[in-house]
Amino acid sequence: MKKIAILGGASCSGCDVALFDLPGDELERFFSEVEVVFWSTTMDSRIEDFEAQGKIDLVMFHGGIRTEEHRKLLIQAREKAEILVALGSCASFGGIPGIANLFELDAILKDIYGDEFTKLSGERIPKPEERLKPISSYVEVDYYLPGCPPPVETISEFLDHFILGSLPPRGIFGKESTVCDECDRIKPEDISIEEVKRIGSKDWSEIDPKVCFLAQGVVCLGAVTRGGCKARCINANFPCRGCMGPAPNIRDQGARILSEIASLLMKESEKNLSDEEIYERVQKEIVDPVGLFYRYTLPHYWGGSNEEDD
Amino acid sequence: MKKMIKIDPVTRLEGEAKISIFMDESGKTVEDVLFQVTEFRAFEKFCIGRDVMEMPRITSAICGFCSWAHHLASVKAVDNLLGKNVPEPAEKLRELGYCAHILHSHLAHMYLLALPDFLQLKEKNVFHLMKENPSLVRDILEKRRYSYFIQEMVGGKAIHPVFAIPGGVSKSISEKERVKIEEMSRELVDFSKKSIEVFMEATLKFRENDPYYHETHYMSLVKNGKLNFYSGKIRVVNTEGKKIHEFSPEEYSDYIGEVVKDWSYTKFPYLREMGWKGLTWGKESGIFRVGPLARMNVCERMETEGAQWEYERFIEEMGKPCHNTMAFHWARAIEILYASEKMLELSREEDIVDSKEIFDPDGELRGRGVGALEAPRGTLYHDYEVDEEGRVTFVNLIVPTTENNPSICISVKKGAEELLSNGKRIDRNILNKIEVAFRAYDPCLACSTHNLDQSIRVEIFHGSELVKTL
Amino acid sequence: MVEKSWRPRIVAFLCRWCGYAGADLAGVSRMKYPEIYPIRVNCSGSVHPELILDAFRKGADGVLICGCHTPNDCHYISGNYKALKRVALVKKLLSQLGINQERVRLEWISAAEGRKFSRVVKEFYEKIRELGPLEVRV
Repeated sequence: MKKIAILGGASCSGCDVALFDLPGDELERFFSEVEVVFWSTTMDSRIEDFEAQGKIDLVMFHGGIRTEEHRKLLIQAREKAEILVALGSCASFGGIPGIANLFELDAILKDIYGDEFTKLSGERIPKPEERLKPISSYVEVDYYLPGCPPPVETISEFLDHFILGSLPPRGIFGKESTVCDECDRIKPEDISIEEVKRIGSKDWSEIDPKVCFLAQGVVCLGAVTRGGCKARCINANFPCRGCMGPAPNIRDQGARILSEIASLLMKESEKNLSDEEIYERVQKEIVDPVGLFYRYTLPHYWGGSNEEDD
Repeated sequence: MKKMIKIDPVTRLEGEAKISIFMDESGKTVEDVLFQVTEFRAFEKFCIGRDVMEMPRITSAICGFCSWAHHLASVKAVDNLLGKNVPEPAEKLRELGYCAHILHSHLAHMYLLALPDFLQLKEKNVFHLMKENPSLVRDILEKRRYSYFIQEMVGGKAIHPVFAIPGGVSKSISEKERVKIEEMSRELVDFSKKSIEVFMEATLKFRENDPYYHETHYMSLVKNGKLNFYSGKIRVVNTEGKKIHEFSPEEYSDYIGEVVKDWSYTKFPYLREMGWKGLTWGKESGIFRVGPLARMNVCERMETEGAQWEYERFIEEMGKPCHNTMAFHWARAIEILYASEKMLELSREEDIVDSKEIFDPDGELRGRGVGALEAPRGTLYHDYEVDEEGRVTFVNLIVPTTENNPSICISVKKGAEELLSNGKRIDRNILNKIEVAFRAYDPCLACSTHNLDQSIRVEIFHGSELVKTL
Repeated sequence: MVEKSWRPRIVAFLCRWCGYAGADLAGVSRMKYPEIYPIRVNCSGSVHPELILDAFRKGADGVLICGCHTPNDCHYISGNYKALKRVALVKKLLSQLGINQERVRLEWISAAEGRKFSRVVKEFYEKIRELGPLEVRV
C-alpha cells in the first residue's frame, strides 16, 4: 500500500479542508488505496510518528516556512518523500502571509506582543525565521499544485495520477493557460483606463458582468495568472487576484500586471497631460501595488533588501 | 525532580499547538499545564498599508476552516467604516452563504475530527471509521459536500469566498441555483436532525462527570434575543446565566481586554469588568467562553421551529446556563439544524434571485470600522482604521479561539489533573483524553494566531530534562 | 560607512533613437561622465518593470532610463508615456519593498542633448553614491 503524509507550515489549513471537498466516493476510493501515515488535522499522529517513518510515497506540504520548526519538518519531509508536493499557493509562492515580508521580524513581534515577548520567543515557542519563504527555497519540490486553495478538480486529478502511477513530468501540475483563456467576458481590443475602480467603490454599480474587468477600469490579474480555476472568482463577478500564481511564460507575475495596468492608465488622455500630472495620477490610482500585484507571490520574487521602509 | 509531559502536536484540530504538563517532584500531582499555540503569521501587522476595500479578500486567508467568517466579519467592518447601507437582498445572500458555511465547518469538526473520540475505534480517525462503517462516512461526506456546493454557488469559491464586497455582494444567484439550494437544504435539515441524536448521546455520557466542567461567563451575538450567526448585538451572561452586558460591535474594547503570555503566540482575553485574574474561573474571574455552548447559554430562543424544539430539550437535560464543556458537541449539532432550517427559509426568498439591488454605491471613508459576527467557533471581531486614501493603518482582530484560550487552558489542566494524578501510567490513551478537552472547543489555531504561525505537541520532562515525547 | 573605493553600479537603459544617441554625442564630444552599464533598447517603452526589478536583484544600485521627449518625440508614438507611467508605479512599488525611490530615474534626452546626458549621469551617480550600496535578497 502506498504511504502518504500531509504536513503544514504557515498555513490556514484551507488546503486540508479542500481535500475533504472532493466527492465522497473519490475520497473513499483514494483512502482505501493508500495508508495515511501522518496528517495531524485528521488523526492522532505526533511528530515522532513522522520521524519514525522510512520512505513515504507522497508527502503533500501546505503553507510556507515561517518558523524553525517548519523548516526542520520540511527538510525531514524531503528526505522521506518519494514525491514532494507543494500544496497550494503558500507552499508554492509564500501566499498571503508572505506579505509579512514587507516588515522586519522584530518589528512584527514587538508590535503585536511587546518587548518582553520578543526576548522570550524562540525559547518556549518555535523560533520564527526572519522571513517567510516558499518551500522551494529550502528543498527540491517535485510538483506544485497552486491555488488558494487549489481547485478541487486539480487535487482530484493529481491524486488519480498518483494512484495510477501516471504522473506527468515534474513541475507545476496545472493548465498551460491563463485565467483570461477561461473567462468568457467580452474583451475589447483597445482598452484605456481613466480611473481605477476599487472594489465596492461608488462606480462599482456600473460594472457589467459580461465585459472584461480591465476594460471597465477594474484591476484584474487574469491575464498574468495561470488557469485551471475555471475563472471562478470572475464568474462570481469579482476580479482575479492571482492566486494560481504566474501564468506559463510569465517570469514575474506582479511586475507584468503592473506593467500592463500602467500602460493602460490614461492611454487616451496622456498626450494632453503634463508629465507631472500623469506621474501623480498613476501613483494615486493604485493604492497598494504590493498588496494588489504580489498578493500571493511576494516571497517567491522578493527576499527583502538592506534599506529601511520609506 | 519535576516532570513535564508534552503533547506535540495536538491533533485533529485546525493549526499548530502543543500541550506541556508540569508535574510535581513525586510525579503524582499536576502543577501546571500550558496549552501553547505555536503558530505565527502576523496578519495584524501585514494588513497595515493594504487597501481597505481589498481586506475581505485578504483576511479570509486567516483561516481555511472558517474563511467565510473572516470574509464576512471583514466586509462588515468595511461597510461600517464607509457607512454603507447594505440592501436587504445582499444581506440575505450573505446570510444564506454563511449558513452553508456553518455547516461546512461544523460538519468537518463534528464528523471528521471529533466523532472518532466517541466511538470504540482501534484508531481514532476518520480513515479507520471509513473502513469500519463506509456507508456512514460516505453519507457524511456527501452531505457535507452540499454545503461546499452552496458556498460555491453563493460565494464564488467555497473556501476563501470572494462575493462579499463593501456595500453588498458582487452577484446574486439564478433561479436554477436557488432551487438546488432549496433541495439541498431540505436534505440537510433531515441530516442535521439525525446528527443531533449522535452528539446528544455522546454529550449525555459526560453529564454527571464532565472532567472539563468549569463555570465561566458566556458571550454571543443575539438578534432580538434569538441566535443569529450573521448580525445582532453582543450579549454577555455571567456564570449564573444573568445578562450583564449588551453592546454594539464598535464598543467591544470597552468590555474586553487582552493579555499576552510569553509562552504562547495567542493572547488571553478577559472581561474588563472583572479584570484579568490569571487562569481562574468562576463568577469573580474575567474569563468568558464563546462558541456553540456559549450561544445556547446566551440566547433566549431559536428562530426556527426544529432548532427551538432541540434547544428546549438541551436546556431540559443540561440546565441553563450549562457549564459542561462536553456539551459543546451537542450544542454544535443543534446549530447545524438551525443553519439548515435558516438556509431553507432564506432559499425561499424571491428577492435573492437575479437581484439588481445587491450593492450600495454610497459611503464615505470614516476613520474606523468594526464588524462582528458569530464564527463557527464564537464571536469574531474585525476592527480597522484607515488613512484618507483608504489605506489600513491599524488592525485588531479578536477571534473565538483566542477568546476561549484561557478556558481551553483550564479545561486541559482540569483534564490532566483528573487523568494523571495519583501516579497513573501515562500513555497515548490518557493523553488523547486530555486532547478531548480542547477538541470540545473546536479550536482553530490559525485563527487565534493570525499573528504568528504555530504546532501542538507531548513531551515528558524530568526537572528541566525531557524524558518522553508522545 | 560606505567604503571610499565603492563605486555605484548603474544600469542605464537607453532608447536607440534619443537617449542612446545623446550618450553617443556626449562620447564623441569628449564629455566626461561616470561609469555606467549602458544597455541599448529600441524604446523606453520596452523597458518592462521586470527588467528594472531584475537589475536590482542582480546587483544594480541604480537604474537610469532615458527616452525621447514627451509629447511627440517618441519614434513609436507613445512608448515614452508607457515608460513614464510604469516608472511612476514601479517607484511606488519599490518604496513599499523598502527601496529608495530615487534609485530609479527617468529622463528625456534627445539626440542633441549630449551635455544633458552627461549632467544627468553625474547627478544620478552622486545620488546613488549618497544612498550607498543596495543589497537585495532574492
